[in-house]
Amino acid sequence: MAKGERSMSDTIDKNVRLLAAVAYGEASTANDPQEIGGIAFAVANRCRAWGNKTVSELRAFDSNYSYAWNGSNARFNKFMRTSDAGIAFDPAMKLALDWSEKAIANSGPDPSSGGYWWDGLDFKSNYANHPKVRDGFKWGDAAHNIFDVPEKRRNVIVRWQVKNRKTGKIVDGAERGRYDSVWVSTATHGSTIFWLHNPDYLKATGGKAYR
Amino acid sequence: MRLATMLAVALAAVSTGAYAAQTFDGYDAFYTAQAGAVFSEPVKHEAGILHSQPGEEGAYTDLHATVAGTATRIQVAPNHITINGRAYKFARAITLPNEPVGNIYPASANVFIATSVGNRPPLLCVEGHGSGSGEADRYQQIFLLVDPLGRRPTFLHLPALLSSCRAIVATKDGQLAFPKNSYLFDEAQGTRTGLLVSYFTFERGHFTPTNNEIRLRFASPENPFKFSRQDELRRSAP
Repeated sequence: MAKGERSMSDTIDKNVRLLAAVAYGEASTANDPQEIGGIAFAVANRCRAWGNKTVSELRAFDSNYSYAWNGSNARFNKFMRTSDAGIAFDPAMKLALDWSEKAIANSGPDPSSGGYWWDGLDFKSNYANHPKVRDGFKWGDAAHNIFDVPEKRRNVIVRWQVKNRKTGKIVDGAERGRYDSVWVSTATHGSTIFWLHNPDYLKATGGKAYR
Repeated sequence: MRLATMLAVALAAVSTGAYAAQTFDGYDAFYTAQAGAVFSEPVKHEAGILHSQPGEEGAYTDLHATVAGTATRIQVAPNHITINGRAYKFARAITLPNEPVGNIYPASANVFIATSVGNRPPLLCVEGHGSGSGEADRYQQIFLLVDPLGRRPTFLHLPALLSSCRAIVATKDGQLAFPKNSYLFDEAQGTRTGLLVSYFTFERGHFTPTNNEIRLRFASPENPFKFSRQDELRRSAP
């Protein structure tokens, strides 16, 4: 057996399997290696940023992060049902597994370019009501506009509210910060766009990069 | 027009397929078109302004509205709402199994208010979304506060898939009902071809199905954002 190849008798670690299933399930059916790898890295990046959580812990803390793992994604379910040997013999599943191992080990390059979130075809088909459009987003690079949709900036000013010492009433105080979008794209591969929070948004709201 | 003539025209229209099913390209229009829809338009607020308090996590919106004739201050924060100073944490809302509660982005959240009707108390509903990926855009956090200024309001977290505050309806007997949606599949192809809209009520501390269902058919498989009512499709078939 060549170095680095998986033995048929090896058992796949549950977090590696879960991450590979998310990457396989969330990616488009084109099985683009960079797209699958980007999703695996985005999940692992967020785990690292959020106190080095495992993928299972991330799922428990924020199950709304990915709906592939709630049972409604046929590819995710198929991956989770497939035996270790079956995964090894399926090129696309094997690809997802390899990327999952690299992402957990943070063994670059990272196709998501440091992203924590991603969106697929719904970003185009549900553009008008898409959460990231409602929040405001901008392209980190114009080339990320793979769906040919307009950038949507939303200017927000955050003001401190403080108690007036004389009246005891809560009144507006100084400006805490401002931002023009919540989201900034980091990369695209296949039919997937990768995202991070805009640093201006984090600064203005005191938000966490990984929440 | 005489009744017999009107009936003949109607029957002819149905038999020739002239009664075309309405196609929707979004769920807001569909839900507000349902009989008994409780909420229509969200409370207007000053866009582009958020507030923050030292020592508190995140920023929040500050809205002013009238609820049951009372001036009411509503603050929407990432993990709770505050009604006239009384906080309701999302994590403590009553929810159905397998409907995870999550934080929301206050700036893009909507707040709806409905006045009391008959024995039904006033209602306040908040909808928003969290930081999800992929198909997370299809899920919305929905929180319903029944009798928000009362002594013991009921605080519910409603099912998230392709739903909204606008999906809540008042039934003929005065109950509140809301959908818990699930996909309809083409088993042979393994694709999602429609949505089953199944209504539930919350009575005496329990979620109960009403047996009222609507079937929606997607215009193309896997894309739930353009659809028609399946029962109307059947009615318009030649």
